[in-house]
Amino acid sequence: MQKSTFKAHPLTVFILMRSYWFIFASPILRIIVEYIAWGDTKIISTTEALAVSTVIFFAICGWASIRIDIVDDLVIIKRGGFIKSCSKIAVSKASVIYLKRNFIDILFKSVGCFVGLQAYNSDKSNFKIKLKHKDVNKMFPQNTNGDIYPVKSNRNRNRFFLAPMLIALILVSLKTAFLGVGEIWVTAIFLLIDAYYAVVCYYNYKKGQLHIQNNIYAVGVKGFSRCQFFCHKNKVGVIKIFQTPADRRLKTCKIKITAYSEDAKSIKIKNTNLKNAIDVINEKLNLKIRV
Amino acid sequence: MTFVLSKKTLLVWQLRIAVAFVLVCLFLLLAFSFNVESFIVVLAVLCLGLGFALGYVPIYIKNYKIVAEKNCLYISKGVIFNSLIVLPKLRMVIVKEIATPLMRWLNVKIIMLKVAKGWIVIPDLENQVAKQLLDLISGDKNAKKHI
Repeated sequence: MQKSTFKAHPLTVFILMRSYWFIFASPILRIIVEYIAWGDTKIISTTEALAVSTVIFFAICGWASIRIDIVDDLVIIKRGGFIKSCSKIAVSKASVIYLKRNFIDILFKSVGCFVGLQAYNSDKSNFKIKLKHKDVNKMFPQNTNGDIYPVKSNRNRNRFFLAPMLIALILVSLKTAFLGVGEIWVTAIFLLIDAYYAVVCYYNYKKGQLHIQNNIYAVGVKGFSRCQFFCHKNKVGVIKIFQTPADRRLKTCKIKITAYSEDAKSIKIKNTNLKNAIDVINEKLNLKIRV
Repeated sequence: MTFVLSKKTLLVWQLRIAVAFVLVCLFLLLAFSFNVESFIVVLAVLCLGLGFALGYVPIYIKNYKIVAEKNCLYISKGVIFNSLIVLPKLRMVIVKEIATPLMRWLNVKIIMLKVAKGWIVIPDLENQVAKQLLDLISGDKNAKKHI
């Protein structure tokens, strides 16, 4: 019997505190309202300090109590600092595993992990957690058996420069028409947004992948976060293929694959070669998509 | 088997758009107290409505196609932004039919397919066509019908 034990990453504390965001937001709102109304404000009251420290304390206790044991085909998740719970999930019942990594995760060597279970259930028995990067590689080995299907389109490389240049031209023209040639800071903001869009497009192009064998393994990009999606091919919910006018011209598309799970987690792979993507999906998922 | 939207669907949508835009124009006229600017705005809104009802909607109806295969449903739609939805029949949880008085008068109905999170809406199919589609869908034991 093979057994592995994993602990949650400390950043999980912030995920646990997220449900109580209003306790952190209300002092800030109060300060703003008081300052606007009376010009003077008390930084933080005793009640607010007590509430904030209580939430932080329970979140830390909750993080410290999380323990994940993997025994053969069973995942046992124990959590709860004071009210303890233990969930046992058969790996075969997991519909989707979704991993997300943004700048903060790269900095702190963590990975956001979501496991979705099949069927629609309002109990929300799936779990969302931050794990250490080295543990994730042990828990979820990348399913890249077989070939990488050429769903990316090389013709789309030009979109990194053409689309942002076009957008920059439109925005700067509009700005010049309404605000005149001055107000250089407005132009600078537009160009910054544009540069951000170009970098995100390029990052998306480089990172987007689709592998289909017994499972579907896809990599997509959301902003600057890299998302990995594992789903058994029998547990695919809905597949959407989306084309803009530019996509129709370049014969590319965006694919969105949704897993059959409570939260219906999905992955979007942009700038895919339309014909290749459809051939792969038709062959591996036994479908008859015709475009 | 392929299903398309009929001319009745187009008529229903055009009637809805006509009513909506007339109400908006009346509101604008009242808001601006029937002066010259209000008539210009109303005219612009009417042109927009006409363009939408006579230009965009007929093309959308023409491009809307449903292909029902043995295990899967394919819905393709869109005018400027095209999309294709692939829906395995096993993933449908509930199938729902909706008909307003106008739709009942014109013998059309809306079909809503419940998937894991959210609904897929098939607009204004003729009753006979809807029945054929539902028979094809509910032939699978996992699909439930709810009226």
